Amino acid sequence: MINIADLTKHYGDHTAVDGLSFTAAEGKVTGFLGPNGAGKSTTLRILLGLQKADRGTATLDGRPYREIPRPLHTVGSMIDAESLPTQQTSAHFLGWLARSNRIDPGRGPQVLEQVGLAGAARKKIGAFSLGMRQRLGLAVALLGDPRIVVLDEPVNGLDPEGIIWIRNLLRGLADEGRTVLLSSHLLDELSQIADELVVIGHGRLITQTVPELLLSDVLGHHVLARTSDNAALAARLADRGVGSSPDGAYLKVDTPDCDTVGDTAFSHGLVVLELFERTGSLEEAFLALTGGEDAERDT
Amino acid sequence: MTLLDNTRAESAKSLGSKAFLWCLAAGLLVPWLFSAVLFGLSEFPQDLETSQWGYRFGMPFVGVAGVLMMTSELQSGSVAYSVLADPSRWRLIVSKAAVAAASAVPVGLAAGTVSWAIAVLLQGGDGPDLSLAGAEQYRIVLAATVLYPIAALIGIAVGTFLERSAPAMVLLLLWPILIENLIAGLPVIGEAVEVVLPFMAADQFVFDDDPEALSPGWALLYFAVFAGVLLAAAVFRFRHRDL
Repeated sequence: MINIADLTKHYGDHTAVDGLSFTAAEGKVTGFLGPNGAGKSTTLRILLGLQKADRGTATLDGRPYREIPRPLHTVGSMIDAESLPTQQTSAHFLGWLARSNRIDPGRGPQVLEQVGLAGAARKKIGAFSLGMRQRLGLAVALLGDPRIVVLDEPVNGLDPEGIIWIRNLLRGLADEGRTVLLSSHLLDELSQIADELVVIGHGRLITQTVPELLLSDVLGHHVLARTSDNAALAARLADRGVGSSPDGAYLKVDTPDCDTVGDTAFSHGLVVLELFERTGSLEEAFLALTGGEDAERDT
Repeated sequence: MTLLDNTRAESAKSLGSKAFLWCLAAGLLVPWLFSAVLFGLSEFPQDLETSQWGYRFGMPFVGVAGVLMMTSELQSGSVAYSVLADPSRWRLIVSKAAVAAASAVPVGLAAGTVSWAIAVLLQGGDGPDLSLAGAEQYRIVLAATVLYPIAALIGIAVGTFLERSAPAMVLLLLWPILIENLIAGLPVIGEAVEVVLPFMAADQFVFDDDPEALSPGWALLYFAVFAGVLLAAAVFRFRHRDL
């Protein structure tokens, strides 16, 4: 269980994280979503004890990271792939990490095998592609067989095959009862992996919800209709208390229910040319959420 | 988590770094080379002190080895992984310092004793007595064994403050060899501040050639305390640094 409470972090005049609170539960994959610069990495770095918060707390199973003895056994984390030690080989890197936390030295080769890097164990990390570095970052996270996994942008740089692989891997970890928190600015990927979404913008929580509800909560459900006379349909729908508005060649009806619209058109002799439900894409929902935040800030 | 686990991890890290090992090698080879050149090519017989003259040019490389232990991680950001493995910042610096100092002891020992052996071999029976007759002679030949680890600690501290390899290396190579001599050579104030220059104090410990300066024992203590204070300041700085 990860608990972030009233977390605040300033860099000079800039507020990177602003009173942020959310939780990530055991047995679930929690997606931590926000545009670049929203404060995701700062939040995760505070959670992992790399940075100090100005206010608030960030705990893992009730304790701040600094208070967890041999933390790699409890929390596995992946921070940005650019900061891996490029002069070391991956085997050497995992070797000293294991040694520092008294992890069985056999785990290094095991996790490299698990992330598909067994063949590159003796290769310098500097020669790795971004995708390979991301895999190595995951190997680091898995090294101590931790109960809690925290991943910063793990999908970046992975090919489609890699994305499917990481999705299955994280699903498996959550199904084993572990807490999985991963950040991303890629909503589509995250919505396919995560059970729950925490959306932030400008360091503040916008919403914590499940991916399915993110759509209907933010965009609502509409029915779009194209008929022989949209204006007449609008008038008939208004008689039944259903609102609508013109949307190009379509009439956008404020109801999630196609049947009402089709029934009304039929009973008034209107020819229905097209009739469908629309919930909008996750990207639209995301933009609506974070764009609203921008507008609020700008005024 | 214990200091020992961390120290083991740090030693694995350092001994796997070619740059670190090359710096230690330079800390050995430079004094040997000086001894060989001074005793092999000089027209006049040289004294025991001259056999240790090269330590001044070898010791900065040991300092650079310490610098690299910090800057290689701070510059790339990979220090974050060390802090993830052990969130105690002071323990990280102290274990690095322990590894740097422990590696520097045998290097200093070999630098001093082999430089002396080269001198004895090349000088033959002529000239001043090079034998290790008493405590003073032992102090001169074994000085690097004590001074090298202290220099390594200074390197760790300087690396923590400057964070980037190039400026930290330049400072550590130029300070003892050039800058302290320039400061000491300044008119009026030079003589006054000379006594507080740490590497001058290290020199005084080895050669005891300035009757107005501290005695060798106090000079060594001063050099060690200087390194200790610098390291403590580095720990303080690192504890408050966001990564």
